[in-house]
Amino acid sequence: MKTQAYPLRIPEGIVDLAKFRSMEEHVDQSTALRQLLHLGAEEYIINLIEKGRISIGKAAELLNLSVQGVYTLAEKHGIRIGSTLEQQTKSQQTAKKFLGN
Amino acid sequence: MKQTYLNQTVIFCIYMYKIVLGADGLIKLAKSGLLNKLPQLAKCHISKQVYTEAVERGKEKMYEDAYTIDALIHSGKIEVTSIKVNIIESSLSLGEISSLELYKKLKADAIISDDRRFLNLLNQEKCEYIIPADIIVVLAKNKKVAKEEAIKSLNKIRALIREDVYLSALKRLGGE
Repeated sequence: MKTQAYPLRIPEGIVDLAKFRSMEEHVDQSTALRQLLHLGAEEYIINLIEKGRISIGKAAELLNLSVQGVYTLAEKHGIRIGSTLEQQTKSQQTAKKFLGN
Repeated sequence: MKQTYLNQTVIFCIYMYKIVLGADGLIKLAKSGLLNKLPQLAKCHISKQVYTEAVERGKEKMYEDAYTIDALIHSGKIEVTSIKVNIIESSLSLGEISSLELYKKLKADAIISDDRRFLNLLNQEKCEYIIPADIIVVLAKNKKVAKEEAIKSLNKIRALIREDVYLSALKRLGGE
């Protein structure tokens, strides 16, 4: 995944958390900060999928995951992603029309 | 004699349907174990972009369903088509947009997807779609799979679909 420099002021608590994580995970502090940022992004994106704001394919693209990886992530967060009952009703009409259901 | 002729006509008509699968629909049906039954109902098409998202990227991470899909493509049961994408939509991937373009180009009968955002777009565009759980129901109702097998397949994707959608499909399959 491509990276770019970005100037940012971070709350001291988050810096302390990154220090803690760097010790726990045996990574440098910058990596720990990036990991924390990524964890937050994952949760945010899964919620966007659930609300129907972005697609699973787009989420995979943004998180540099496969589509299957997004399903795993959603399961990890305990979130069921997929069509709504209203969309299922429309789907059933199509299924009847085209497939003789 | 008349009944046989009618049956043949129905089978012929059903087989001629064209379906475009998005990466989400493709993977969920592969995970259910029933993707190989779908070509008995309709001609199955995917875009090159969906192939990249579902198969190439899936194989990089060694997902079994990616290999299942690839095998069906190599056996000619699913056709991959290259298509130019003209629309840009920041909340959708190239796979989803190309699926919509392919649906329009082929004048297909439906798109298979379970992606809420993508289905919203299909509603706006007045496109027909079927979700994977309903495909499982349709396969069972058309006797392409036994009811028990259909329920097992639905259970395999239970964690990947919404509970109310799962329960609705289960009820139509005659499950509890």
